[in-house]
Amino acid sequence: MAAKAIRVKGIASIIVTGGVAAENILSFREDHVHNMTPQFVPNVYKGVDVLQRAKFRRLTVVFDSDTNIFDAYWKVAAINVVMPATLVVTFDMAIADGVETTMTWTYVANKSWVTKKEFGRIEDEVKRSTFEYEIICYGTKVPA
Amino acid sequence: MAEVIYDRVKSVAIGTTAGASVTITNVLAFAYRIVTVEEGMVVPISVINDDNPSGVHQGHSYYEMLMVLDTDWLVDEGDATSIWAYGPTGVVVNNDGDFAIDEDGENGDIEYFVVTITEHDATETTLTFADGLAATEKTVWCMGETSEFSNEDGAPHQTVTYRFICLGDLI
Repeated sequence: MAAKAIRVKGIASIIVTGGVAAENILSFREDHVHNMTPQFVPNVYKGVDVLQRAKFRRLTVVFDSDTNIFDAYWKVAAINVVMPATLVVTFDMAIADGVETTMTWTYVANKSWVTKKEFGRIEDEVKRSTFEYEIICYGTKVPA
Repeated sequence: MAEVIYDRVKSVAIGTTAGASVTITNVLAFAYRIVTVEEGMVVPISVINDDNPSGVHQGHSYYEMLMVLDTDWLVDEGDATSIWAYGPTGVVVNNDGDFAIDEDGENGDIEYFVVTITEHDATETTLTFADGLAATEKTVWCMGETSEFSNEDGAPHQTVTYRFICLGDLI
């Protein structure tokens, strides 16, 4: 029988180094946008050094409940600040039957910005009130 | 637009030649379609990674392919840093020593790209997008990567999807 493929079981945590790990994660998505065609970078990204035709990653994290993990980088009345620390996402991995481990993706320091923060609606009969953050970053992602 | 999706993929071999390639087996699905811009009449893709490959003309059609993996690890590798697409532990995909994905610069063209499909009757079909010979150089590129993970109950798969483009005919 062929060896079972190594696979990701789920997301264990996300942490900004030096902070507290958030584990109430519903989903995590990473888009690595390549420069197939000239990209016009809209104003929302202006000021973060993501230039036309540059590659960047768009991370979308949905939390099951509130978290303050990114609050230091989100400003209402001012420009958002760069994350001066690394962002580490940890995944639970299955590498064989009954054998599990973890994998981390580390997004390097001073390359990430929170660009969107969206609260779910808190109402009766709503199954979940999610909190979604979108982060863009560029530079190397380090797997380990 | 027609799209072909295979969910019984035996392997996808990627590299420089048949002898210098890796065989990726943790493939959940492979899909391809033919993209024809304005029915082949106007405005083609003209630039890929700042490179204007020969043979890309006005009205040039191309294949767009998706490879959906369980993870971006090389199968059977216990080391999470062994990721096929990136250097320095990834797979060299052309004679210039490039990798399929460059974090900041131009992606390398993939000179060997062969997909082996298991059909419904258990026969195997091979789709060769690039065969490692000179004629298929600079015709296949990786164009994007999307990773999707969910902790929701019932999430069937946690996937890493790579998008490719092929400017040549299937061999």
